[in-house]
Formats: sequence, structure tokens, C-alpha cells
Amino acid sequence: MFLRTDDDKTMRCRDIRRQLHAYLSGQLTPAQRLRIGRHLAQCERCYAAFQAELATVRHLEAYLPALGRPSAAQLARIWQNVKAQTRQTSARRADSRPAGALLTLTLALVCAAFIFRGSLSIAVAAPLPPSPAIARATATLLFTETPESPGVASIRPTASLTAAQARLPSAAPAPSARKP
Amino acid sequence: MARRVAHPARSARDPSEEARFQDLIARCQQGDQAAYEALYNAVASDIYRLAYSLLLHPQDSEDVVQEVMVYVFRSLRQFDPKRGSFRTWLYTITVSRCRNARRRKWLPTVALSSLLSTKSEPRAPSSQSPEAAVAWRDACESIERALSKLSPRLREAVVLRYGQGLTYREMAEVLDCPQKTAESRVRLAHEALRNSLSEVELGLLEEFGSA
Repeated sequence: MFLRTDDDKTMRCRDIRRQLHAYLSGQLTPAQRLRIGRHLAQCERCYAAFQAELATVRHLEAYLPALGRPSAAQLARIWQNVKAQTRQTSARRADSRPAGALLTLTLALVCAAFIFRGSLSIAVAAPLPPSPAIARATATLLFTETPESPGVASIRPTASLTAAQARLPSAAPAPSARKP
Repeated sequence: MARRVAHPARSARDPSEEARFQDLIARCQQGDQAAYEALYNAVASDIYRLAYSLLLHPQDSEDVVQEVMVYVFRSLRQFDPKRGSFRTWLYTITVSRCRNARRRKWLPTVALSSLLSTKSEPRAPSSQSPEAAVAWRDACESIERALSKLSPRLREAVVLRYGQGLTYREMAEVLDCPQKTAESRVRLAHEALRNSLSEVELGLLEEFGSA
């Protein structure tokens, strides 16, 4: 035989009261609604809580839609401000259009000038193919640190380069030419 | 004994209203100036009510309505009807602007309206007697006082639910939270409001609220 204690009832009441809001707003299943309805019919305290919840819903439904209703004068004033601000923005956009076009054109010209200058300087700076001797001499020029200024790289010929080697042509291609 | 309580199933997604909005938006995009004004007239009052209920400050609410409408007119192309109703989009923007306005005003300030007595007062139904109108105003002030004691999150929930008649689903969309969270916020707001209203105030509310 199952005996219902006061603790059981308190827990059940707490559970019911927690669901009163959902009960009122139609969020529960028919079975849940039936269970709560039956409980409310038997429990005075929960019924009082239900009445309080119902009154809160009614008060909020009655008063909140009326809260802060603007007057016609207020709405007209806001509309004038909205119109003025929208016009200002449109005018600013219209003003900025020619300036934007000019800026774009300037940028395009600058870019074109750079590209043109770059190709010109490449064409001017492009040397004739070096003679094999010069190529070999160039290959032996290494970046080395000078003892006078450590840390500063300078170009110095190494000891392996002799005047004869520099003068004599060789069948071996220059290292730069060997690279694919 | 099962007492059934009818709860009005209201929704921001009214098909005829939504169709009207779509028509106005299309005309706005074609540059029809009258359509802008018609769109403003259709929604400005509700936006103001929402802003006022959240900020409880007339001048700040006017500023928010202005900001929202300018933003909406500029961003009409961004509105996608497949993602939600126009009204839900408007409310999302309004709630966001109200949060910004509240953040800007984190320092305690004295409202100019309170000094000049320009506070927006809820207007009583025109058919009421002067005494009833005074009682109505007192009741509204009680609600406003109780609302001002709620946390911003709870206030947003209760105002969207009862002030604007949104469903929990729409509230979740506007507040960017799960539907259960929206429901729970409304429930907590009920408890907090009940605790902050005195017996006298509850009696006053009862006079009109249960009519």
C-alpha cells in the first residue's frame, strides 16, 4: 500500500506551480493540462497561486499595450527627423559619387604609370648576354663579410678567381646558366 | 474541475499585414516616397511603444524610433522575408537599439522630461469618466514602476509577449535565444512583478485589468 506523505504533496505542488505559466499560455499537452486541472480542483493553495498567475497575465495584457502610446505630434516630429536624416544621407552619397570616381581614376592612372615605368626600366636595365668569361667571373663573386665591418655584406672576389681564369673562355656554362 | 483559460493567440506574422508590408517595401525600393511614409505610419507607433516600454524614457524612445526607421529605410534590400516577418525584423533592430541606448546611458542621468513634466502618459480610453481616467493613469504608473524594477532581459521578454503580442517562437527569434529561455524569462518576470506590486496597486490593476 503506497502512503502519500506531506513531502510528496509539497513536491507535487511545487511542480504544479512551476507549470502554471505554461498551463495558462497553452504550452502543455492535453494529458499535462488534465493533470494540473485535477490538482487545482483539489488543492486550495495551488488554486490561489493559479488565480494570482491569471491576474498577472490579465493585468499585463490590459496595461502593456497601452504603455507609451505616442501622440500624433510625437510621431510627426520623429517623421520629420527621419526624412531630414534620410535626405542628408542621400545628398552625402550623391556628393561623394564624383569624388569617388575621381579617386578611382587617379588610382588607376598611378597604377598604370607604375606598370609602364617598371616595364621601361626592365627593358633598359636588361643587359646583353655576358661573355662566358665574364659569366664565370660573376659566378665566383660571393657575398662575404668584410673584416672591417662585420655584419655588413659586401661583394668581394674570392681567391679562386685568377686573371687567367677571368680571361680564358671555358666550355663549362656559368652556374646561373646551369640552373633551370 | 478543470478551468480553461483562453489566452489570445496573437502573432506578429499576420499574413495580410505581411503582404501589405511586402507591397510597401517593393514600392520603396522603386523610389516611391509615399510608400516610405506609409511604411512609417504602419509601424512607428508600435516601435515607439516597444522602445518606451524598454527604456521608460520618452526622448530616448523617440531617438530609438528615428534610428530604427533611418536604418530600416537604408537596409530594406537586406530584409529577407524567407527568414522571418518584417515586424520581427523591426523588433529585432529596435531591441538591439534599445540595448545600445541603455549601454550609452550607464551613468545615472536626470531625464529632462522629468524636469519639464513632458513625460509620456498613457492615455485613458476616451469613454472613461475623469475619476476613472485618473485611476487608469495610476494603474499604468504602477505597472511602469514595477517594470522599471525588472532586469532588462526580463523586461524585454514581458514587453514583447504582452505589449506586442509575440508568440514564444517569435520572441526567441527577436531575443536570439531558445524558445524555452523566452518562456522561462516571462515566467520569472511574472513572479518579479507580483512581488514588486503592493496590495493597493494590485487592487487598482484589478479594476481595469479584469474588465
